[in-house]
Amino acid sequence: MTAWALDYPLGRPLLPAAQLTRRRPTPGLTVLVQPGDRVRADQAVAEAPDRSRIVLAGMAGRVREALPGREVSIEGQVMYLAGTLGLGGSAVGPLAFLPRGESIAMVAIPTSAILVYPQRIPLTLLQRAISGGVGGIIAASVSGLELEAISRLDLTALYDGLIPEGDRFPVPVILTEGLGERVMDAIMQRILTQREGEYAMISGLTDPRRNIRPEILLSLPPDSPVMSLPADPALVVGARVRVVAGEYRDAHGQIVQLFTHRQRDQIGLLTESARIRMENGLMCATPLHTLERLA
Amino acid sequence: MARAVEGAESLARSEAGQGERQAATPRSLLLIDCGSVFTKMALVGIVDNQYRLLARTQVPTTVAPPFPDLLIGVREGCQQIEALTGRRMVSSEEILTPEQDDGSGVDTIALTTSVGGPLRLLTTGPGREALAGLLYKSLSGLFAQPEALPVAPAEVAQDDPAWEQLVAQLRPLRPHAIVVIGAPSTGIRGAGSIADHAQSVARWLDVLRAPREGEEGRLSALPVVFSGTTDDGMTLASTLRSATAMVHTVEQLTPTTIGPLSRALNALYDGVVLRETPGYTRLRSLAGPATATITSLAGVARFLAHHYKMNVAAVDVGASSTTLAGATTNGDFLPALFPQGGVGPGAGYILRAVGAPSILRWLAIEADENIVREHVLTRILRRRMIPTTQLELELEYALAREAIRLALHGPGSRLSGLHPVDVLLATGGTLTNTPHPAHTALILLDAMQPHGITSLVLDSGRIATMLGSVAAVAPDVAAQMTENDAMPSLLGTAVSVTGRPADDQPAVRAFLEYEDGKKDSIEVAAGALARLAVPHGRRALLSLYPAPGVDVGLGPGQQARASEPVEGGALGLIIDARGRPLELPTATLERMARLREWRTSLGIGGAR
Repeated sequence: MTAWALDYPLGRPLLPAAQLTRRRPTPGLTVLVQPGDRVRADQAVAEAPDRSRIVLAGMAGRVREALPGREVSIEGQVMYLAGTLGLGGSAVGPLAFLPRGESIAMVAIPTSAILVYPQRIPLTLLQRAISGGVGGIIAASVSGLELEAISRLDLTALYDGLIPEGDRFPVPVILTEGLGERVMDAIMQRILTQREGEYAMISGLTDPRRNIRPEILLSLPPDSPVMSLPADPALVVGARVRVVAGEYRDAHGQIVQLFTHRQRDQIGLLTESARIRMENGLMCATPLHTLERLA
Repeated sequence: MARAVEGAESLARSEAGQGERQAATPRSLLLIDCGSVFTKMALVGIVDNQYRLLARTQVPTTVAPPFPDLLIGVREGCQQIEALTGRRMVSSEEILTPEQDDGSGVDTIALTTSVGGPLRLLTTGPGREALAGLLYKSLSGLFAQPEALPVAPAEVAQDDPAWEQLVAQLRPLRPHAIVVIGAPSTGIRGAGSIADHAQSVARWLDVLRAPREGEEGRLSALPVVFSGTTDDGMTLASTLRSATAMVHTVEQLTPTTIGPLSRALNALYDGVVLRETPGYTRLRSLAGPATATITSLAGVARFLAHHYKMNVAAVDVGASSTTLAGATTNGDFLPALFPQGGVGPGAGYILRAVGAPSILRWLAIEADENIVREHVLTRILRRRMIPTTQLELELEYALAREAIRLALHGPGSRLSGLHPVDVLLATGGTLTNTPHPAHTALILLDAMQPHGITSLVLDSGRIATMLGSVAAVAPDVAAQMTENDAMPSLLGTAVSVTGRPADDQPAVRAFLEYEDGKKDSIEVAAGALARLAVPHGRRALLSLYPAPGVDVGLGPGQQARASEPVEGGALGLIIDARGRPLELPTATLERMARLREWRTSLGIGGAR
């Protein structure tokens, strides 16, 4: 029997190498590239006649389509990281972290960069980052009420598709873990730290009804070997998984057994479950609905 | 049994034609219930000349990436049934039908669904207010969400803020169709002329199909369904000729002509809502048109009401919708629906409808609005997740209570007036998979607030929502299945009293007399909830002695002796002396203490 983890549109929250195509809107701008051109992530693909506005490629790859005044479509090899929820449209910029030990009320905000904050982001920092001109924000988590306060949106209505303003939020915000008090997944944090200073393309667009998730795209060298899409989301014996809720939240491990019958979980509900060998060697039974497949 | 078949046939008639296409006496059936989050499937076959449930499974519903095709999940479910039974169900990625000589495949596939959400209707017309009761009757049993369409002003200045605000409020509803109700024929004056309403509808059609900022292309025109006279229909069609592709005219709504509008809207649900669901068309070609979950549950409620000669209310709290289906002994059907609110991805609709304090009042654990909002958002974002902590479980059950209340007292609901409710049937994953059966009983009592004596029963086989669709294609199968495998298991018998005693005396005294002569009794104070265990397999006669002013269902102070014995069950006899309407203490600590006390009295040990 097979169970699936289906929270991510490409099958998994983290794809080491995938070939993707993304469109860069260029309304009213002069397109600077032609189909077939190779582009870098930080290369301008369109600009306003007075150069007051420039659109960067965002991902290294090849131009597939260039529609003057409308959009440029680029295909490239990327590392793909999915968030849990987001706000705003897309942005391109270098990944930047805040210097350690400085007060978030005083620290200099890296203008035009994609700010990475691997913990729960406080409201003060969120406000300072947006007003300070960051290109985008990647954080682990945020308080639900604080995000609603700063966005002036009822997020339940937004994610139910009842209000269209989500993509109008001035800066893309991606929360990798979601709401509440959460720290960024260790693997994701390591990847972003290693890529500090490199250009990334992010999108905060989130529509749970269509399983559209916020995403972070990190360019890879051309002709990198890529995996086929969608990645297999099956929760099978041997799969490497992450626990996203419950007693073992945030732990990583490997499925060693799938129970043939539903098991009583920690609070007494009967759930489809798996036996997991955690990275620290602990063996435990965990409901399948709390698992994300990593590899 | 004859009664059972007769009851099921009433539903079968509404699906005329489908039964003819499928095998007349199927040897096997595959029941598929595509919910918004999970698809439940059951294999039914003949064992000892009786239809029996052979296997049951549940898989994720696949309508969005990475698997945007309903059939992918269904095939996975078939493979799981293959693994459970050894019976081959799929060949070359298609469900094998009819049943083959080697026993593989199935003769009949019956499909129930709530995937894709309800048919969202905007209702207007000169007869909408006067005929509202008939309009809601015509929607009974359909998975539909009607909203009133305001009359568009005849002249609107460009950028009129009031008009723009009205449009902004209506667009997010994403309507599927406009229903125009013509003026009633019986001397009652309608509101405005059909010509005025036609102009208004034309204007709305133009606005609602215009693209929103950021959306590409033009949206297709909404279909219009008109119920009224031929002359009015022609006036409407003439005005709308340039604005819409389709005006479907049906008979004028009268107490005896509810069916035509109902059938037109049912066809619209299949044609507009379900066919937008990826993979549905191919599944439909195998199974025939799907039955909406509420229609299916209605069939079960009617069957049980007919079979037991009792008033029955079935309750299904789903992930994205909440469905109640009531049926009376004399054949009345009383549906109640909260079409977009459930405890999963539909939790946002509940929160917005009632507000966080109404959710928090059911928690025995301290929490605040932020916790409620974060929980609801997490349920919207992670569709398949269910509670993993005690707090999440409490939030889930608080949302379930409010979802039931919203359905029960929602527009068009006729179930809230049903008395007595003899049987309350709990079905669906939320109510049938609880850590303790008392959770289900408490949710039903708190939300439905029955009065008098009510049997609380559980669809432990979790196939009630599928049986109605079986009745549509094979009534005798539904009857035998209900007898053999789907007979609900008794949670307990609840006695709900109203009124308060004049002094400190107990609100009610209950006596049980077992068949072996053993006796048991309990005194319950006003405001308390108490339980008297009646073991499985035991039966006892119940006598109730209320204090003066306290009503056990027969009138204040009237004593009651049940004519039928109380059956043993998971909880036994429950005396609910908390009064109606149920009032919770306003002080937080006192309220939490009271909730814990009630849970403990029903045997929930884990409540903190």
